[in-house]
Amino acid sequence: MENVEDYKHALDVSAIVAITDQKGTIIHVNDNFCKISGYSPAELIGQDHRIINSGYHPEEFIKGLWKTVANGKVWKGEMRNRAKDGSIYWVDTTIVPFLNSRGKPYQYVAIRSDITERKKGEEHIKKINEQAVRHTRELEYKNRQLVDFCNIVSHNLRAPLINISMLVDYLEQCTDDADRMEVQGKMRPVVDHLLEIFNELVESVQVRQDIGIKADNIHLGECLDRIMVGFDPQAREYGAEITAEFGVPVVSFPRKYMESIFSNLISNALKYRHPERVPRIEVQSRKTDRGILLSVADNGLGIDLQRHRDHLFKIRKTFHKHVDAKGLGLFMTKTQVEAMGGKIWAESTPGKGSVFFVEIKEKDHEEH
Amino acid sequence: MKNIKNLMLVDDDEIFVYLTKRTISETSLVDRIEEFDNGQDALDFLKHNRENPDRLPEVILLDLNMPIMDGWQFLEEFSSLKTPTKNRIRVYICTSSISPDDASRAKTMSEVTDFIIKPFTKGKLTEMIKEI
Repeated sequence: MENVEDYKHALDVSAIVAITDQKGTIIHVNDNFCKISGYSPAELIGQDHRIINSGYHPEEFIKGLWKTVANGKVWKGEMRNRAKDGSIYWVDTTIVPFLNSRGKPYQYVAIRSDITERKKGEEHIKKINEQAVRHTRELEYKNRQLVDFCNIVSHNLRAPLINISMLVDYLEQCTDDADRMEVQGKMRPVVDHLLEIFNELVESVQVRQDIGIKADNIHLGECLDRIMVGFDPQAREYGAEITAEFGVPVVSFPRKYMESIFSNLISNALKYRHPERVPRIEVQSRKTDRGILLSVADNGLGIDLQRHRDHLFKIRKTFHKHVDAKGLGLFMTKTQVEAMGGKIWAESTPGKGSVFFVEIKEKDHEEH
Repeated sequence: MKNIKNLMLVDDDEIFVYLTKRTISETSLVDRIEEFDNGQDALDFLKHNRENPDRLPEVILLDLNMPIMDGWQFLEEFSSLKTPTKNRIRVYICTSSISPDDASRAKTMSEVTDFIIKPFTKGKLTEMIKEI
């Protein structure tokens, strides 16, 4: 019997021990149990073990536990309990049923160890991991933007610079004045074009960095009306019909960007109207589970997205032969929308028309 | 040295087209230059003159960055074009792009004779024409 006493002593010193009867009423607790739960033995003995329940585990979990031990089997698991002062602790638990001569449990011995610190560590790691994944995604996105930007710079600035260089070479070789005048005359438009692209790129960098730009409460109808003033002569000339249906009438967005979005999308819709029909443009806003969706739909020439999808919002990618098709507008619009955490994309059927979608986040949607 | 009867210039850059035409005419090595500012029009011309070897170019100078149909898209359709003299047409990609991806992509295409980065000089042009 000496050995059993030693065993019991060793157990009491190293583990948290509680014994309940078959109904779950506490009949014995050791010192460690009292220490971790904050209750005295007198407060525990005679109580239902549920006194340390924290309400964290779902019903199925508890039912499963009881079913196991009531059938005479040992149950092992991690449990989250509540101490007397309301604080939370986690324990690694083994519950051993003791069976009578008829094979039915008459008492349960629960042996536990404190794993609160470990659990805290696990939760912390999980949170850090999630943060790391989020950051990585953000960085990948920013990197893609940077690569795109570098490509744009090298493509769009190099070409006019080459032209200027070639024209200068030619000038140096020109022998007569008339020739020289002709070549010289070709330089100004190239220089202007270069300047324009350069300014656009600089502005897009500023937009990207100005993420602290203030968002205004914009009444979409008013905003659209205001930019339509500029398009009035064109709209009248083409007999264009422009309708607006703002399911979400007010949004929180920088006014300057919203005006730019409307301006560029309406301009596109008018510019690429179908020659054989009256241009009809529908502007809408509605709420979705991801935020607010703006759309500008037209019945114009449409765009062959299979061919052009990847190039739609890059600089100087035009899809139709059009005198004014400089292709700068959509690039800036995309930069502005994305700087605000939004998305812009298009759907189109060549010959039928296009719809441009802009998805923006709702105010206070994301709190960091 | 034999002249080139037809040369096709596919490039939307007005200045480049202007200067190239001038340079070419100064070499007196090319009889006729057809110019197109996008791949689609160039392709249509080739299709239209499929049975007309007299009008088909021996040399195509192809830009990559063009509206409506760019250089790569042109090459894709060009490769599936059935023309009797197609195999004798030498396509030179002439681009302002310094992207190594473009250069390596050009290497994978059998239709492309060479990949030239703009600007290219009169000397290079003459050399090219002499190679034919």
